Amino acid sequence: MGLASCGLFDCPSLPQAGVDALAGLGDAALGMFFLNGQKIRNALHISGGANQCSADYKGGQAAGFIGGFATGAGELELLNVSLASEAQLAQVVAGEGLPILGAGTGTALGDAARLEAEYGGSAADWAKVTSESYTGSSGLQFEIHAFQNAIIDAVVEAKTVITKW
Amino acid sequence: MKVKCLSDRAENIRYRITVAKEYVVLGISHSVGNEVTHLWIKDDPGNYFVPTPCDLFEIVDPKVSSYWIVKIDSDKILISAREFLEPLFLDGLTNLDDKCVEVFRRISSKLEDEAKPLKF
Repeated sequence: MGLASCGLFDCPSLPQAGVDALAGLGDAALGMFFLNGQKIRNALHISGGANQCSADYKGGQAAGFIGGFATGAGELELLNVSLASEAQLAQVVAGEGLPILGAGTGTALGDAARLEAEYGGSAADWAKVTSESYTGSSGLQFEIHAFQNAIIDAVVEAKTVITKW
Repeated sequence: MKVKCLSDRAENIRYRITVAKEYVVLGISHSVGNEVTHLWIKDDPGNYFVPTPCDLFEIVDPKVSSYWIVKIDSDKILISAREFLEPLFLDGLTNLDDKCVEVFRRISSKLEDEAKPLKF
């Protein structure tokens, strides 16, 4: 599964329906903290992503809202996921992500030339970075990946990557 | 080749490694321009490897892998399994592309088996 097909949530072998449902759930969770997931995505220049018109997205959003009013372990997990996701995003946006490819790692970043053309800076200064990894009580594990150029102080195309499902 | 994490500095958290834990080195990258050497270490979550500065480790088994080859890419010297050095493989792996993840699991398993001590 490629990035373009998943957008905000990228995960191994997860169908688009699941992505849409997760995105709806995530946006609903963010809404509980008076944040707007779409605004965050726009601010970070995130293109593509979940289909907000799909039944799965709306179903996930509904589940998120219902979960917000419900009590029990599900609500706690949702809260923990939301808090972890916000902390991960803050870490990456602050330029404190861990370089995993490109500048600062001795490896080549395939997207470097495209990033230079789209956002500026030098291709050699672009790196892919990751936030810390979060593992929930349900076993769900995710982290946020983004492209960073420390020289021009840019962090773009952040997305949540689900590493264990 | 195996290394042990020496550092108990804050970088451990950032690099997702644990002090005193031993790691199989899956590759080495050296940037000639920056004179920095990174060891490719499967981080504690274990989903892919992270190039980690070599000064955080000591070598506990210096034997290099028989699967490794050398590649020079611009100002970088890369040493690892042929599959890991394919163009765009690392991009695909960090994107968790299904095919790259399968190759990563298969090859890193071979490297880890090779690094196990022989039993008589």
